[in-house]
Amino acid sequence: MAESERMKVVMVDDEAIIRYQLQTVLKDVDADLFAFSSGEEAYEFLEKNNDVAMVITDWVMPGMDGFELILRIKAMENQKFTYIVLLTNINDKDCLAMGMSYGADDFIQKPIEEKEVFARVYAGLRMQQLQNELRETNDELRVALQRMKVDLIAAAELHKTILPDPELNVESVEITSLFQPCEYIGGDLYGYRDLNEDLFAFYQIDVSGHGVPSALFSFALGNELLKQGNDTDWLLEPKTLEVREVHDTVRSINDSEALNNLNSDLYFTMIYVQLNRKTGHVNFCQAGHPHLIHFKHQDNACTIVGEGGFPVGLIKDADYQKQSFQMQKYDRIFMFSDGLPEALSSSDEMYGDERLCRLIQENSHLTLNNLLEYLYQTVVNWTESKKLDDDVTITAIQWNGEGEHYEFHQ
Amino acid sequence: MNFTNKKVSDAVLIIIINEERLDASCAPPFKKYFSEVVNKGFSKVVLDLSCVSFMDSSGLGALISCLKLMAAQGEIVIVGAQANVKGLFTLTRMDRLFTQYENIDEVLTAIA
Repeated sequence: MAESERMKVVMVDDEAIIRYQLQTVLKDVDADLFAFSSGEEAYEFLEKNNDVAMVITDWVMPGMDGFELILRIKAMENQKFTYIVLLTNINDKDCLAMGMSYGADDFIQKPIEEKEVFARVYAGLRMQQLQNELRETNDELRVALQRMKVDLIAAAELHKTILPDPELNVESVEITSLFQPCEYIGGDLYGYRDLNEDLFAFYQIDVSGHGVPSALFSFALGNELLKQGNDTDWLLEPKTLEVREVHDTVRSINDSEALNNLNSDLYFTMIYVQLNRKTGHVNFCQAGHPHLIHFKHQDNACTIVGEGGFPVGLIKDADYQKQSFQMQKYDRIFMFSDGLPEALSSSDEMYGDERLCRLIQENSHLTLNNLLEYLYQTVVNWTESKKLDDDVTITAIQWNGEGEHYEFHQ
Repeated sequence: MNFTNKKVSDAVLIIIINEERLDASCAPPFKKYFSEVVNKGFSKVVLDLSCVSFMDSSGLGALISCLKLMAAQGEIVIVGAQANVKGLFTLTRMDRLFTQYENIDEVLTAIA
């Protein structure tokens, strides 16, 4: 309701004298008054007018009585917020209770006491005025929120364009990622590519914090990581284009102009892995990211791999290490952002690496895709909520031995 | 946010984080608090984390900011880190940047 519009007050009583009294008492109230002698007439008026602030109605009337009128008003979509005052000439507590249960907001006893009527109507209208203002503010907020949601959804779509397909099945290597931001958009990032005939590279990144700032940071970072084969390719040596060692890549990102130019308090954890698709040998660099889980097909057992390392973008000239292990045919590697192992149960217990290992072992018959879905859902169930409150990315890689293609079961 | 401090000497200040979670919502006020109270020439700040059962990446970022702030004038040591926080410190090698102690007495003995 616009401020300039005056509020409307509807009065209903079959007795002309009461209508006259009310109009006299309320002539100085800042509202337009409409008096009706029956419930039916008032109802007809209310159907056509959306901006009635208050209805003052008698209880006992021939035809539609006060209670029926209130019931009907409550059922009208356009009178959801109408303030209802019931006139009653019986000092009867049951009547008050009944009126209240029907939806009356206040009561005026007959015979009418002028000052009391004025005070009650004045207070009721002031409340309506405040509620109108609140509703207007709420509407504005709702519109603004809706617009932001639409923007965030669009931004999330754009963010996904820097991520590769979540499933890839190439010679010897099968890879699947599950990507689940906790808000519309998040700071997780992953990627993979061939570095040469032998080496297959993949990385997972988790930018500190979550929401829009982290997402913008990860988008900028993701774009840098997509630059291939030129001087700014972090994964290759400049000029010679030889494959860089894993820890040299992480160090060059940590020392890079691009990162320092972002001039942000944000930083990220990363795990960068090179898998030799011919030999199954793995080199990786762990930069503050959770440990890898190495699932050994032959033993149906998991090993937690990694000695930790500095996150990236936090400490200048930090030192990074290469770690290595050997995969056998059909072995799997799992990497995940901390949102997964750190998911808390209702009693604040973390899910933890050990439980993840057990899940991976017990469900090793599943395809990577189904297994990741199962892992994620199991951890969500652990928290007893609908989703996790941190961004989560899980990536699983299976090595199928030299020259082997994975065969789809199913 | 609930942070308190105790002055041990002109050089040493103890800051106590009376929060269970040092996370995205707690990190910015903590950074602000830290910069305000250490801006008085303390060369050693003892950070009491014994109440903190969970620290996330934002909390860790805040500690590093504090460390950078202190870099010129001294060091930060950690006291009473719980298992989860210790795990995070090991994973991210922060245990190499912050000396850790089990309790305040141990720190005060080490400093004396």
